[in-house]
Amino acid sequence: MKKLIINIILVCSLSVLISCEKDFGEINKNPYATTITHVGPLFNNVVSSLRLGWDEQFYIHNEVLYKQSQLAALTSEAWSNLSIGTENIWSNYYIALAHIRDIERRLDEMENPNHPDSLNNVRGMVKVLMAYKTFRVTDLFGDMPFFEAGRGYTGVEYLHPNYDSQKDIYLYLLDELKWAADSISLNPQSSTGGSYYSIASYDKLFNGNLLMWKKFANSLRLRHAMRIAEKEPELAASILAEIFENGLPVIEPGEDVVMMPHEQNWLKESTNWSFREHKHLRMGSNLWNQMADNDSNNGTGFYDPRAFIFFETNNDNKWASYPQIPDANTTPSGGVPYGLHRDLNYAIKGETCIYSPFNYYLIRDENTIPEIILTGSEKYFIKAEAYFRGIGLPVDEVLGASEYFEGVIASMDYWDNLKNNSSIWQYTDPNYENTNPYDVANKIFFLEDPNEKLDLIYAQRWIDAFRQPWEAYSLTRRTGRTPWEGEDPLNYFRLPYPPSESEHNTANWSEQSGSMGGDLTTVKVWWMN
Amino acid sequence: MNKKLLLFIIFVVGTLALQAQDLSVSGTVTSSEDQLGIPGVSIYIKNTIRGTTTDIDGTYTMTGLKSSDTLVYQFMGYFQIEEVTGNRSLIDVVMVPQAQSLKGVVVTALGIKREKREIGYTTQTFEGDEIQKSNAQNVVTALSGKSAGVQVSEPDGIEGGTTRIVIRGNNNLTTENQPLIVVDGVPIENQPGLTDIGRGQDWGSAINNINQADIENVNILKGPTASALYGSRGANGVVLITTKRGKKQKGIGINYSFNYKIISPYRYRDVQNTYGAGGPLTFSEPTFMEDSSGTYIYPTSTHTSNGPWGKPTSELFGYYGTAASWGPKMEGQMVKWWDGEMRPWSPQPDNLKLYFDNGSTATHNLSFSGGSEVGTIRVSMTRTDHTPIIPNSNYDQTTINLGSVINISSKVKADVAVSYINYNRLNTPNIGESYSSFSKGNLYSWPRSWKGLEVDYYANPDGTRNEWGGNYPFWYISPYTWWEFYNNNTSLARDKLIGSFSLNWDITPWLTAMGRLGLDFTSDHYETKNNPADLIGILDGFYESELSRQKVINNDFLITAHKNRFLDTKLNVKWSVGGTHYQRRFYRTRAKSGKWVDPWLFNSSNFENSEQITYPVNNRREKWNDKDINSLYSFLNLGWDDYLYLELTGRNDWSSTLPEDNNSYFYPSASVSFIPTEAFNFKSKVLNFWKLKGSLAQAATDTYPYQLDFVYYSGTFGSAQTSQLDPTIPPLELAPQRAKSWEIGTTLGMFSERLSLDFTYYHILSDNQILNLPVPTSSGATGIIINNGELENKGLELILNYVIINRPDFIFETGLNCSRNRNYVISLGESSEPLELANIWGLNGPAIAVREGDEYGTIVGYDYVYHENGQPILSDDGTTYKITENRVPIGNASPKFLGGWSMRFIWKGFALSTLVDTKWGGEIYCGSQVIGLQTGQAPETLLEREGGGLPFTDEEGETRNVGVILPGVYEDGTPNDKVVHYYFKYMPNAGGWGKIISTPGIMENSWVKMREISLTYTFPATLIEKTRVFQNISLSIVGRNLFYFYSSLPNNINPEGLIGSGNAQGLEWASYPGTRSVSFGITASF
Repeated sequence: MKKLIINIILVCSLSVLISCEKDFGEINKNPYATTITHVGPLFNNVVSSLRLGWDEQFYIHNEVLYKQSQLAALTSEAWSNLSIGTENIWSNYYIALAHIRDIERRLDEMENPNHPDSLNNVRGMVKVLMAYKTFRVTDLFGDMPFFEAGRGYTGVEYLHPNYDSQKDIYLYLLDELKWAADSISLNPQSSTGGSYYSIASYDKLFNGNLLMWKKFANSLRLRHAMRIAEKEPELAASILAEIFENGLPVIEPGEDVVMMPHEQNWLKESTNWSFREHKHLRMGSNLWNQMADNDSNNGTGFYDPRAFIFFETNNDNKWASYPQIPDANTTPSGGVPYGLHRDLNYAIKGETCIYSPFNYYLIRDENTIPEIILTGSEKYFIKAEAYFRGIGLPVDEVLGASEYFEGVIASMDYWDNLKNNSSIWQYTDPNYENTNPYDVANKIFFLEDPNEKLDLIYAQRWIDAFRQPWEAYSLTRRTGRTPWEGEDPLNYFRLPYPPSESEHNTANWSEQSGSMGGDLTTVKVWWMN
Repeated sequence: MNKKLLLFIIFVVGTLALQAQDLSVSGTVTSSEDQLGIPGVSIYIKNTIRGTTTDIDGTYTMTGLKSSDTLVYQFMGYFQIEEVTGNRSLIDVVMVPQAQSLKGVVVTALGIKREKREIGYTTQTFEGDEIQKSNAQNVVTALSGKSAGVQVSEPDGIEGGTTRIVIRGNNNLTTENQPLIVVDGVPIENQPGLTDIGRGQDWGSAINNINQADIENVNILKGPTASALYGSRGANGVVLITTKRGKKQKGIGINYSFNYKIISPYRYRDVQNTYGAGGPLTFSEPTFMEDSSGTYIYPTSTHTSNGPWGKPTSELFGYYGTAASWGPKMEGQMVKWWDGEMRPWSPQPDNLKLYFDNGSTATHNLSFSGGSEVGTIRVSMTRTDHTPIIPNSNYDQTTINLGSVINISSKVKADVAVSYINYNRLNTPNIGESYSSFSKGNLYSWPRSWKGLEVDYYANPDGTRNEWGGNYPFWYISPYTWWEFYNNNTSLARDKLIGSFSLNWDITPWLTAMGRLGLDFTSDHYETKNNPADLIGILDGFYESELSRQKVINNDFLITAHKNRFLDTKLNVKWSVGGTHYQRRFYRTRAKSGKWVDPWLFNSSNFENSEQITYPVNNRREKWNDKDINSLYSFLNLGWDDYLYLELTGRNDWSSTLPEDNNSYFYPSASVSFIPTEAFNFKSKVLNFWKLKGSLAQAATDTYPYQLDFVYYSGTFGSAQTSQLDPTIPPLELAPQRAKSWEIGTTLGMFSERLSLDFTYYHILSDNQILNLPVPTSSGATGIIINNGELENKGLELILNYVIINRPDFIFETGLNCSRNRNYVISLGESSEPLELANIWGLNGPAIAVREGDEYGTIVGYDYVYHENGQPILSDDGTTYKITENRVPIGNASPKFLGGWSMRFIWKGFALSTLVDTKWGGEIYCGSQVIGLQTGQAPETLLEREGGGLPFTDEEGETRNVGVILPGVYEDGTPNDKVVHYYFKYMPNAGGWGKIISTPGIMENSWVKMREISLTYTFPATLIEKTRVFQNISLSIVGRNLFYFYSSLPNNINPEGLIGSGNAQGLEWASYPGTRSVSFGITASF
């Protein structure tokens, strides 16, 4: 008996004493996630982050950008909750930036001194992604944390990043893009004889097509060089000149950079949700006036075929725009034109849907309507502007007008293809067939005043950006010359920083906010005049 | 008279005299609690040293007594009894336990029994009988108001939910602050069923499963000093539960008790019953729309984009639900309802009560207890059936408990305690902000004119779901709430085994060894079956099965050497060395169906083939929670001449959750107890016991598992792998969290200890907090695991007991306990930004935050902007208050003090006791009140509608007395004098969307409550004996949570209806009505 007792007590003691830390590592190993990955999957994650955020579309595009750029009419400010939208843009961007930093750290570790350029292609691709994403955010917010940002995983000193000026960010990114455009090599062998490190199977944007990456880099240089033409005229001119004079590859019609759900194997549910739940956007009188030459409600007034792609008739099958500047007599807008019931009952948009809503197919198609990043027509509009203003190219109205012409035709083709390629598009207003894209394209040749011509260039670039309202908003802010109704000029210049900055990056935010005279929407971003 | 006669007389007288000299008395001493014999009661003749003690059955015999002798019966923890012998030969005595006694034995850490006088820190003991009698929902709620410094809250209002218990304030900024629960030496896992504020379902925590009928006693060890020996897991204090063991007793040893409790919801929110549904659509008098034939149409629309002044109602009045009751007066007019039927527009005073009913709990307990030289054994079986106040969410529990002590030899004893628990629960209601929450329905979705048609019509006659059609007006909670209530069922089946087996070996008279194996095993099966809503049996059908298994092993050993009168001095020495191996293994697997293809087939493989079910990170199919802690400890107890005691302890833990180079940590404690009355022998009638105590301790806490690795989550995009960083940055280095505490106190016994007083002051500093600290997204992450921050707790506890009357036939005693705790956030480390604990509506509305320099429990929200003259600033038209850009502190939930006052009367077989408790001070955000104002449900919103306002002219030129002048000033400081419609007074008081003022919801929440009244009657032994069957019968009636003497909240809102059992206590939103319960009990022993 005594033996048994001694044994039991011994077992208890031993179970405690046998190595106090044995197997701790194994017990505490995170069972949910892996510690192993490489550049490819991280890169693919960044590409996947190019998809638009749900709340960004809802609270920023539909609530702010369409209204401020006057691309459409906001019939009721039903939500006015910027925080959710800005938070969405912020977290999408900075989380992607952290992944970019992680890729860059891994590339630094992978560098082979004998073949230092073997990583150039991947480095270039990463820089292009970083530039695209960063420009989008800084264009909306202005100054923002950048150089220290996205590095929280590497040390506590980076947990609260400083704000950087938009100018510094722009200059840095334009340099990076140049490096990428120059360094991405289409040769299989690097100059030092090693082969290029490739992540082609993880490149879901261009499927490993390196030329497309070069073109995308140059097109972004065009877009953003022109955007700073007022603030950094020499730099802007030099970039435009370099690309145009040397005929460097840029995105051409038919090569449009998009996120395409059915090709990338995802469902674009966010767009319909953002319209279905918000439901207050309608065709505005401002865009109506750019596309129609009379107020006829049967659609015969439209000369721009894109009107029938962008919008549709009201519940009464009539065309009507909501006044860009409504007054007390304006009949309120209503209806449920974006509800899913329309899959079954297309014609029913709700009795009070008396103004033309966005085309249901355009916002409902989850598979074959892309999210647009950059279209092939953009280069023409930029080149046209460069010719008219003599930025990087000699002033030449004739060449400028012809670039405009090409741009409009490319845009018309683009939207027509978009409609034709949609898997759900079944009905288009019969008036569509009666329009002629050349009516819009030729318009420039009937104008005398170069300023009017330039306005037309801006207007068409603005219309082409119909589903890139952030680009249209930048154009409006930069030029102040996109189509406009109302006497008051635009005075909404930027988005306020999201609340997580004031709550968790308080010191830096306060300093930044103070230097701007407040975190206000009336503060101009750097590149604005 | 002859000689013979004389001799006879002398003999008789002599014999009588001799008999008088040699009177013999025997009897049994039993406890009034369980009517069982008390062994070891000392009985002596008053003013002599002659005496005896009771044997194991509680019986005694004394001889050589005189009829004039007075026998004194004394036992630790019981009232002393005196009996004059008289000519009795049988004196049975029933002893009544004292509520609080200064002397006696308490169970301390690791189950070690020690004299109260020795202990230099604070513990408090509660007898099992007292807990069982309360018939509270669990052992912890039974302590509510009874223990100083212990705050108990039942957040969700439904029995079976989670109870929050906090001892001496919060020592952790964001992690668990509840104490460790130890049952018979086995720490049990007691994770809260729901901590999230505001929404979800609460399945309760493991403490609910501890069967109250099996509890011998509960000891609360307060603060890290008392719990220094439980290591990391005991840093928030310890609740030690000891279950009953067997006793040798009279009769056949069977005890049966039955208890029936009726729970009634009684404290409903006060509402107006004059005006029905309608939104603030115009400033004109609310009227019905009429159809072409002049029939009134039900006002389905509460919101419009073309409201007063042509503005959207949301722009003017913010965001409100369809419960808005600003519509026409309810006068029985016939109205064409939203479903097309004609119904009277009449008051519905009882619609808040529609889904509540009286609940009940029936508990049967049958136990057998016996003992012999071999040992003792008790076997008990308990069955509880509970019908809650909300239908379709019943539970039942069956517990089988075994407690036994076996004397293996004269030196070796085995102690076994095993409880097997089978618990079955059907559903638990959705609470607070949940989309299918009834209480949210009442507050936010259903107006005062709501007739509850859903109750009868949620299903169509063919059994399918009523889809209501497009005119259904109440869409702020799910229109299918009633359907779901009866058709979406989740059941929980739990099997739980708590067992401990220990061996105690007296190796030599001075050396003992103990080894114990402990197990807490739980298997939970949650099964969800949502009935399909259509005829075919597909639509919205759903099945989910979740099975989890948790095994916690806690093995320990302790070797103790003790020597009294060490080296022939007055020094008593005891030295122990021990260790514990703790191991938790938790695994859960879950499978669910998708969009059904098989009608009415509840099976997780029922989903369309095309469907790729992807589980995001927070909805994992599998879950683990494994952890090991190994510990070694030692303690040294020194006692000098029964008046000076010193205890030194040291413990080292090794935790699997911390990094390799920081996973070993040591912490010591020291405590002193000094009894001047003994030391200087100055006991007097007034002061007969005086103890001074002081202690100093450290404790340390580890963290949750799996936080150390730098990991990536994988997904796919474009059919290729993606890798995603964990949004929380893993700790770059992590160390255990530390708490340093000290306490001092004194205990006084006066007037023969009829008056006792215990006073303690404590101070706890917890630093190096392990936090998931939010970081700005611009860092690339959302949080980081880091050691940061410092919390301070200081407070005092006072316990006072007074035996006012102590006569054999009548005892009257009273007790008072109160405590005050101040909990300050000293530092949040390098990043001093506020740390949000919880909110109701995300970034909008109020939240509970931890802010540097504040007391723990700051309520932040959007406040008025005040002019320098102190008045809130209004817009120039006098309609709208200016509010702050960001959330700012607007209140604090820390109470000023907590207290409890008890009384007990014992007269013959009757025992009556009462408990009043209070929480005084501290604020809450009272969502029910402000939403009640906003939706026009609150009674005070009648004032202007009934013509009590200022003259106001509406858009149509009609003037009525419906105007108000909002208090405040314009930007320039001049007082507002503009009369506006009353909508501007009531509507913008709350809102979950955008920056809406939060300040009006801040209210002081003080209350004084009649917590408990109990009356017990025990039949007299003489009567019982005559039955020859029973050994004892007693009856009881207990009322709990009976009423509030005072509550500072308006409109009868439930002052204890806070939401969530997490650290953020201070948000009230759509709480349940207050409930009270009355229990009837009978106990019989055979």
